[in-house]
Amino acid sequence: MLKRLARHRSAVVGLIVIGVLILAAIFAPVLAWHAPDIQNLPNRLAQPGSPGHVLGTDELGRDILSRLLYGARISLAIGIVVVLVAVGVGVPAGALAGYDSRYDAPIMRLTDLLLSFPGILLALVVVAVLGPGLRNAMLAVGIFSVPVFVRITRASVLSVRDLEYVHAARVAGSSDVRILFKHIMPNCLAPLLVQATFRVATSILTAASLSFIGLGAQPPSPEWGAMLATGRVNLYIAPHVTLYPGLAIFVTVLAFNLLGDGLRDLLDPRLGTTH
Amino acid sequence: MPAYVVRRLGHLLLVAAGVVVITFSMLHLIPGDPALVVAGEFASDESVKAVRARLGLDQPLHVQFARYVVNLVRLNLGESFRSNVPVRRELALSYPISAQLAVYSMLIAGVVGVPLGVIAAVRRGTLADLATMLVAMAGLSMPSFWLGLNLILIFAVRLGWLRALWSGALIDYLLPAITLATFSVALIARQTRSSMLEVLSQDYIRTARAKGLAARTVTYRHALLNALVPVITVIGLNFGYVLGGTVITESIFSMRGMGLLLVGSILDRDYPVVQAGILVLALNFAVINLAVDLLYAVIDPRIRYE
Repeated sequence: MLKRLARHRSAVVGLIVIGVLILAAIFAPVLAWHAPDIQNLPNRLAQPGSPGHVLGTDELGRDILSRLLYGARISLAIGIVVVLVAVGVGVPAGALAGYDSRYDAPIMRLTDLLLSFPGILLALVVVAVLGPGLRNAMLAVGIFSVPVFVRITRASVLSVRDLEYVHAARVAGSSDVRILFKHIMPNCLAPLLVQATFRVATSILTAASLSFIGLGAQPPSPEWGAMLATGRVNLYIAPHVTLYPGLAIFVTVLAFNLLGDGLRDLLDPRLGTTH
Repeated sequence: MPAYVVRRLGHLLLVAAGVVVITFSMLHLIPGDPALVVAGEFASDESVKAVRARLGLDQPLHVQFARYVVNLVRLNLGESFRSNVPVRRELALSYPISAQLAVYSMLIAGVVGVPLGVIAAVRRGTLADLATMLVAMAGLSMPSFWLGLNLILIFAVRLGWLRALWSGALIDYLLPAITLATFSVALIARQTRSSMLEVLSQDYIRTARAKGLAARTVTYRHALLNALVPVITVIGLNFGYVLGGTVITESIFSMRGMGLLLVGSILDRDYPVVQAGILVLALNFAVINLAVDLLYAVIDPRIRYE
């Protein structure tokens, strides 16, 4: 399986970019020439390529490259935490709904209700209640992603629940919990893995959007969306301040999407786009 | 068909009721005493009490809910805490802007996305296919706020073709609509391509070709019409993304639509505006979903949901 993944060109590109990002996030303190929040007001809005500042400086004279490196930590953490929250809530709920028909209707109605809020709006509801900030934004995007995992898990559980081998396990005296986790869930892993990869991309994008409109990470955080929000004031005279954080978000999201596409082609031939 | 319409209408009412319950609960879900939150941390006891009375928070919960629903039915959405203007008036000003933005975006998305997908599918494996799919992948990954700022920079600042400042004229919708449509164009192009490929591999397409029909007739009359059903699903689902996306797009272009109103109200804790804005957008989405589902049944007579 890993061999086949290695032959999928776009998935390999995605994997390499993600690897570089993870290294950048881990070694940010070593790689960054400057601390991400050190201001240098005389050297504001320095152009890219100026001495000591490869990507220039922002409106407070902070080194943009250093901030991007530290921002990689935040963005990757957002992607991972959000997906963990969504999987942690969505998968057990979906498994329960698919396995035990008594819980099916209530769980699915609740899921439908969450899905009745269009797009990013559910995240806005959560932020409106809990208040702006990075932690609440992550929670908001996590809740916004739960319904997808409920649906996928339920559908996969339903598709294997009544197969012979599950009945055999029951006849052999396995408990419900054992049947669910030992015999049913392993068969649902493929679509979940594909979706989780795509969701990392979506979550990073959504959380950055929230930060951009002022509801997520707050300045002086080097979160990429927040960097864009503060940089846009000087859009006309110093476009590089918004260019690089945007590019960072784009490349990161693209990498996870490419990997997701690759995984889907390999694991879920029914949904394949490259025939 | 009529039974199906009735059932879907019932479903719409259920969703609407759920949305109403959620927007009603918002004020009560705030950590701490909502009256204290609304009045401010350092408000005197009297002003907190006054806020509590004004919001009806001193009443039992079921009375509050009944009052909320009755007011909604009368289209009384309360008054903004910030401006004391009726929320209905604020929405009347901002709603048409967001609605226009959403509709223009969906139009662009459909008109650009479907042909792109068809071209990619018909010329499968060629450079045109590869290029289209690469562009689509980029479109899916592009942060809309970054794209919007770059469009302003290129078309308003560098080239000077368009205004960067929002004035409400039709031409001012162009860049925002393109910004908002990009993700949907990509999604629709990908869906159109894969569902076209599936249809093109069917036996009846081979039969049509074998009969000697023109390639054009086969592609458009026989294949595309059948391939459109899943595409319409994606377009319908995508309306939700577009409605939510107006929030971000309006922030980029400083358009005075629902999104900008919502974000400002959330930051200022202007809860009546937040509740009403979210309610309106969610109900809009529910109605569009209903329309899409009914459209399905018209396009594809095989579809008669149980």
